[in-house]
Amino acid sequence: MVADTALAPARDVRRPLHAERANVRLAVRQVWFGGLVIAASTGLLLWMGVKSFHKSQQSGGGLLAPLADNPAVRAIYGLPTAIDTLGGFAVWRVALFVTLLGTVWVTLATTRVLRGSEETGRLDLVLANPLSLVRATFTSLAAVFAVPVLTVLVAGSVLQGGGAAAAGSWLYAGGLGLLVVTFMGLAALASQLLPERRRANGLAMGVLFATFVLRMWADGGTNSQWARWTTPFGWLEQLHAFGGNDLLPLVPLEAAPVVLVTLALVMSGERDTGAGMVRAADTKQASTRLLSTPLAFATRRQSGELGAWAAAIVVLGVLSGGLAETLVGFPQSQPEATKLLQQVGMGAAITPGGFIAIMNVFYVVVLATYAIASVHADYDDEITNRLDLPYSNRVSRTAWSGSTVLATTAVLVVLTIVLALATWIGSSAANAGLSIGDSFAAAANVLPVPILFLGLAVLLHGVRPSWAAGAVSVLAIGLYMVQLIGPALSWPTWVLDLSPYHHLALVPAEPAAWTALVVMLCIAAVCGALGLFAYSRRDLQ
Amino acid sequence: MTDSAAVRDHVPAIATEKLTKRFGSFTALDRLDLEVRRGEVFGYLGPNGAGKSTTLRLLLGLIRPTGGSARIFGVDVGDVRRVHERIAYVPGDVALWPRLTGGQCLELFGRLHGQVDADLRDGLVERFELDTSKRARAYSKGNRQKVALVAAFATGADLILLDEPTSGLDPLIEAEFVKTVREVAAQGRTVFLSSHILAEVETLCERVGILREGRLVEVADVGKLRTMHGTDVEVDLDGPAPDLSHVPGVARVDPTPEGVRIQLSDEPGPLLQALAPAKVTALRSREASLEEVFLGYYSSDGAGDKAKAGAGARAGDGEVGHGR
Repeated sequence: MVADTALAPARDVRRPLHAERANVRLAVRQVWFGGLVIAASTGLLLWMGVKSFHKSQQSGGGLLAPLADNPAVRAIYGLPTAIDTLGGFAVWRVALFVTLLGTVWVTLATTRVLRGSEETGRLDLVLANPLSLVRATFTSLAAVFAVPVLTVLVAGSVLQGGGAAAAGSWLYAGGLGLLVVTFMGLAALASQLLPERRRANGLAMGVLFATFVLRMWADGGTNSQWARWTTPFGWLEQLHAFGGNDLLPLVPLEAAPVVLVTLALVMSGERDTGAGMVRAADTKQASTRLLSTPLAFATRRQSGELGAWAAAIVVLGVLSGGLAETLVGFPQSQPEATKLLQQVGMGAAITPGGFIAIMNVFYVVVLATYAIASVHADYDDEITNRLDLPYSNRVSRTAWSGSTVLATTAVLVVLTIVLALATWIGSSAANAGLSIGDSFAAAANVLPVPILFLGLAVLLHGVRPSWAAGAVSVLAIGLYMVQLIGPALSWPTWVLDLSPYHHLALVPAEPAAWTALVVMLCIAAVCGALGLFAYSRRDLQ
Repeated sequence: MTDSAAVRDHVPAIATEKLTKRFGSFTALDRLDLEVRRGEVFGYLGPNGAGKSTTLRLLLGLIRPTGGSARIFGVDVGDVRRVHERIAYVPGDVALWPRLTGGQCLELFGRLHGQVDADLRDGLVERFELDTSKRARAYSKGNRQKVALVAAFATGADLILLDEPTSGLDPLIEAEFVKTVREVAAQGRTVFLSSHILAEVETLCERVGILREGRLVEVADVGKLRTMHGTDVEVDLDGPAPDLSHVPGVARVDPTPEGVRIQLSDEPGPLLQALAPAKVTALRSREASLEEVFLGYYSSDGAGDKAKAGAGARAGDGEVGHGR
């Protein structure tokens, strides 16, 4: 018989705030690693920016200003402020990347902590404690908030420690932190509105993308400087850190997060747990298309988001096409100019084809992100046990996972075509003289790189699935940084050779490096095959 | 019940040989030797963490054995394409893609299985009262289970593997489930039912295997299990009780206001002979409920093992006590 131990009555343990504190700890556990990586990367990037200042001074100090003021360069790199100073140059050089890194990460982390745990039902367990949804949301956000705070400290220290002016360093760092917190608030709001994490991510990332493009337009256009006030990325620029050190933009930078977070908290108090403020239809007319085979189903799952990704690629393509010829007029007669352009990674941008090529290399990161997310979706299905039922049928591992890989590759091809078309349209509109053949060549040239990262993701998915998304994302972004900053800092060739981006020829300005492309595709194929094989042998998590 | 002679000539539905699974240093399943005959309804029981779900996942090829082997209808379970043609599965916790409707899920699983009898499926949808127009995210746990149940039974598979299939269902739907399993069994198909609901196991299953800490501690016919593990005999006596402690088959004697209560783990013959001289005014016997039997196995002090040891010599004989 079962041993007869009566349950002792529960002790009356009433510690104030214990539920809140526990929830903060829970959220911290979810975000601390990514947060550390982001803070460290920000510091590293700024340090690289500081280091490359001296080199740029040597190469062509006088030409830096007109280069930085070039509309295309402004659109991409942002508003240059006091780039003749160490601090101004350093932040100008890396602003694009530190802002994107921080804001994208905080968006994904916030939706994960808020809507993610709600969707899986984990939040129900948390809320069974004396903790309302409002307080739970607030405490989770407080945990995420630690990351921008840490980033501010790191950024300010690196800048000031590197020799930049103190006031500008901390103004910029503070502004950067506030920018990240703004998007945390936005993601929190999106998490309240939509009932699924993927949709919340879509909304938040969509707004982020739109505000980023707004900044690009504001900086690149001739009479559009006012538009900087419409986007948080613009507010950061308006601080004019190291230059005028204006404090006025701090007002929207501080007000926006407060407003967004307050709205999010209010909504969390008004709604049901598990639902969104927006009530999506729970029933629908059944369309049974694309439910017949693993490949059909994989296609169906990809097509849901294809529209959004394609739209983003269209915008990016049109933009780069439209800006393609703005660097053509840059003084080429002086050798210092070329060197300087190379210093900032835009050596080939003096022709429209070269400019497109450089932009396309950047878009590889976007395409790689899509591929990685696709593999991650499979992993998510696995750990939520959704794959138990399909696999109880006559479906082999290779068939299911292979279908995902095939569908993802097909979408990558489609997106590449979309990029080519959009670029051509943009450049035609600006009379940049880029032929459609060149446009397609430029886009096709970069396609092997996201395919390579897809192969790597599949390999990790078969061997260490929990690492796949994180590790390959770090590789995709990190190796891009290596290519971007490495040559300017004169890193040894073998380091640069590690980066697939380094092996991309700048088509159509240069002839394609066929060997490199074939090698990349071969590596992708081998990794993919190994990954699928390993996946078919391993246990499902 | 099925004709056991004919069944024994066929290849078993499930046959494992020293099937072992280790996760790191933890042994989830230790040299499992299990055989489920074709056409029977087999119950699979055990405390939480005993390894029941691990067994199912191994049979389905979702995880690989560390040692030993498992075959379904004579084919190694690793050969997914051949094996899964003939099986269907209902998981313990059904997870679906949130944005698909129930109907779309059924369509998907049906197509993945091969071909599915649409009329049969529609009949099952009605029987289980499933609203197929709702998206999966709007389903309660029980409704998600219904989706999996309909999908599994609609395949007409020869072997149906069920992992706690009714844990979220209301009693009315559970009754439909029992009815469906009986129909399936009557068609000569095999059902492997892993469950905690002992009443259900008692109703549906012919044989039961009990797993504890990764080892199969017992496999027996349900009826035999009950009789092997005791009958409670209450005897009202007019006068003092005779000394019954040395009577073979008597596990325990407790005094009651009216007489004695005896726990009998063997044939009642010797007990009746011992009672003959006493003045017995009433005699009531009650077989141990299956719950008591199972709890004996579930508890870790090995009470089940003790009872089994006591009845070891009697295995294979006819029924004891009053009939079922």
